[in-house]
Amino acid sequence: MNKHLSAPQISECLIGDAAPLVEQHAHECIECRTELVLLGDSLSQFRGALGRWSNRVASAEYQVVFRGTPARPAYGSLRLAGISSLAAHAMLLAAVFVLGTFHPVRNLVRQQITELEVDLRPYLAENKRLAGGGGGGGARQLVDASKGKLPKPEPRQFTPPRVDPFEARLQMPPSIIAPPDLPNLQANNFGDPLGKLGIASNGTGLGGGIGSGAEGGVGPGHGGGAGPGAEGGFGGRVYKIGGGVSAPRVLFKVEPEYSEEARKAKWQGTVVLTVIVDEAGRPSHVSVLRSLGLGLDQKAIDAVSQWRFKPGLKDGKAVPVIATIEVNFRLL
Amino acid sequence: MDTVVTLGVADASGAEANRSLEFDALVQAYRPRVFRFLLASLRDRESAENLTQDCFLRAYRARDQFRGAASPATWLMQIAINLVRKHETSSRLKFWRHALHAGLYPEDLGDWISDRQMTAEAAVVAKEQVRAVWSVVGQLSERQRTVFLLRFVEEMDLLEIAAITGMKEGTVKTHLFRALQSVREKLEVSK
Repeated sequence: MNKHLSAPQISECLIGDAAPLVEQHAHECIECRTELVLLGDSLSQFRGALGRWSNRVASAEYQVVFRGTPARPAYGSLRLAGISSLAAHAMLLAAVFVLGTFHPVRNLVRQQITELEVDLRPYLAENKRLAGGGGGGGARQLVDASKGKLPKPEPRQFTPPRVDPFEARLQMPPSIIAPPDLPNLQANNFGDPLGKLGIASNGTGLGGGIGSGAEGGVGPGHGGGAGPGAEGGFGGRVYKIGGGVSAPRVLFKVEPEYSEEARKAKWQGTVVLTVIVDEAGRPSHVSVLRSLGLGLDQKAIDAVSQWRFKPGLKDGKAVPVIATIEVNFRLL
Repeated sequence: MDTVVTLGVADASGAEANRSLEFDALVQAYRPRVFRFLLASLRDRESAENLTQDCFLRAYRARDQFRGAASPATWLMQIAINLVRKHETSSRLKFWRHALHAGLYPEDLGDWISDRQMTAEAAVVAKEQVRAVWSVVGQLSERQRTVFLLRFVEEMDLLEIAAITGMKEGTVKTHLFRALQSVREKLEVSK
């Protein structure tokens, strides 16, 4: 065999699976042997490098050696242990939930939790701008603003309300600048809650919004709020007596008359009225809290409406105050 | 290079103690080999260490079933190969993690050649060759790589490899032949 070995034959030699003739040639032919040796050298270098690497890595680390017998679990099967553990935990959890449904436990928990709860309301900064104030608007229309609900109160106003909503593809809901606990009425359209039923109108004011005022709110004031006053908020807000608000005093009084029917029936008693005394000391929004009947309610309202007051004061300033007035009807 | 395991019988303190001593000797003798094979297969030191532990743990649990029909090396390598296969199928999803690791810590096998009795030039050539072989081995398929490592690193003969991998001898030859061809091609290129 004079021809040199082909590449596959050399591979076969290296694998150790060559035909006897090929082996013989590899021994005899120097060139082929050189090639084999070179290839073998590369492989043995590779083997050596790998061996050194693995030895270094292995010796650098701890070596765990099995010694003795590993402890066999003495408490039966592992699966059973797992299941019983799961069951025990589930039972514990269920017990906690069941206990939680008992009334004494719930009361105890409630007590604990209310003790933890801190009332932060006294420390909250009061937004003075929203406390009073009011707003108004209008569109220079001839008719007074019509009745309707107030738009949603928001801290900022982007769109002033209109009585007649116009179509927009992307609607920005109209809003007013007011505290969220604003009294409102149920209606389908926007308007001034104190307005008149009738022709839909944005009112005689200017600057957008509804009413006779200006600057985008609702009502006779100025600003983005609602009601009389300016600079947002809910104008015409009524205070209750107490807590820094003094009671209004009666300056001028008109005695109520007896109605004919009541006089005939010798009817007597007390009518209780609620009155809002405004900053000027005039009563308004007189309403009956406890009625007596036989026309005496109306007589009481008539009389009280003519009264004049020294207005209630808050921080030295006259504010509208809601007050209760008892009107006694006695037959002498 | 089959290592002869001396199954030391220290004292007659009981059959169980003897067996554990035997197993201890087995671990001492074969741990480096198993670790080397796993390290070369996985190229990840942590995985190799874990799988080496797994391998001996499995062997320990199944030591009653080992009747000595094959050599301990064959038996342990069988376990190791099964573990590698399982690891590769389970770690296919962890592709990115592997890719990341490979990118961060490329193992340069060329640094591990013994260059004591070499000229500088020969050392450089040897380094290049080792690197070439290492990169080819990394690109081989799992079977080709296993067979190649068993033949040329662990220096087992074809029949042993066939027994370990559960392939026929002809199949082993084919895989080995293809693996060797790729290695040679790469070596030619690097020359």
